[in-house]
Amino acid sequence: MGENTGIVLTEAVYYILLSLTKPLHGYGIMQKIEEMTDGRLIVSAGTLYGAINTLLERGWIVQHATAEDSRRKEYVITAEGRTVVVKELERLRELVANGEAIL
Amino acid sequence: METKRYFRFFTIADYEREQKWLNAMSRSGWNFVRTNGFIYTFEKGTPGEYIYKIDLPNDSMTDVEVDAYYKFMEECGIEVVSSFKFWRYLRKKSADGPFDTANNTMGQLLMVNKAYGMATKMLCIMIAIFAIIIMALNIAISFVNGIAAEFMSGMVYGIASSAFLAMALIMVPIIQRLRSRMNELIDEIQIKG
Repeated sequence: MGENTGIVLTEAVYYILLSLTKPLHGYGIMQKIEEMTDGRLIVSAGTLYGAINTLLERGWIVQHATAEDSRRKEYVITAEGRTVVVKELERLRELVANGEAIL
Repeated sequence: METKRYFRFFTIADYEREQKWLNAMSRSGWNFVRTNGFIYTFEKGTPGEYIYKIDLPNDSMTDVEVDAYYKFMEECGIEVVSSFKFWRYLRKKSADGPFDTANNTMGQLLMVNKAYGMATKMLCIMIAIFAIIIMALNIAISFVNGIAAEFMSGMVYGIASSAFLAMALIMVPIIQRLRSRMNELIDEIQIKG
């Protein structure tokens, strides 16, 4: 846990983790992020591919035991991944609070 | 199918320009289908139906990983239209939206980094080949004597070294251009995050 403190997530990773609270395959993640950000953020397939592999290695997401469509791999967030996003959310709150207090 | 062929050459450092050209051709109704590095073939289609992107697999990837990477791309609605050496020419329906956010600095940086890696690798291979030729020549010379042998070895040496010099003169500026583009993007990323 201690090793996760002070991690600043990239926007892409933050949204990938958020979109995986429900199991999704790669293309689903892309669409979900586009939908959540109203098309502002479009994560490229290349970025997503690299991010998924890194997140799997770190144990922040796992491959979901696939149900209907077995051709595509599905992924889902782990408890550890959730902790990371919650921490990031706290950091973002601090950013917003400081900005609002001053401006 | 009506086709058009163009003769073009783009260096490793010119893939952004090449990509722009492919997209401009697509907008005017000519869909890129293949290249051998010099000849680009286009098929007549609906203007603006596809958008194109030039990609490189990461040089640390094994062949199996490269396959998995492009299979993932296909699952995301991206088609690998053509490949030339390590380059992959990707396209997707423009109706499905762009490849990524416009001016994605990190994405551009990763791409330049891959191109830079490929260019330096090529230069290293060229140096290795040149070293092997010189070594082989020295061994060959030690077995034969006479003016004819000396003349022959001198000629091979001359040809090999001028070929090497020419290649180095081409490769070094390409590597420098990629390096300075990389630095530009790194400067940008310090601000944009």
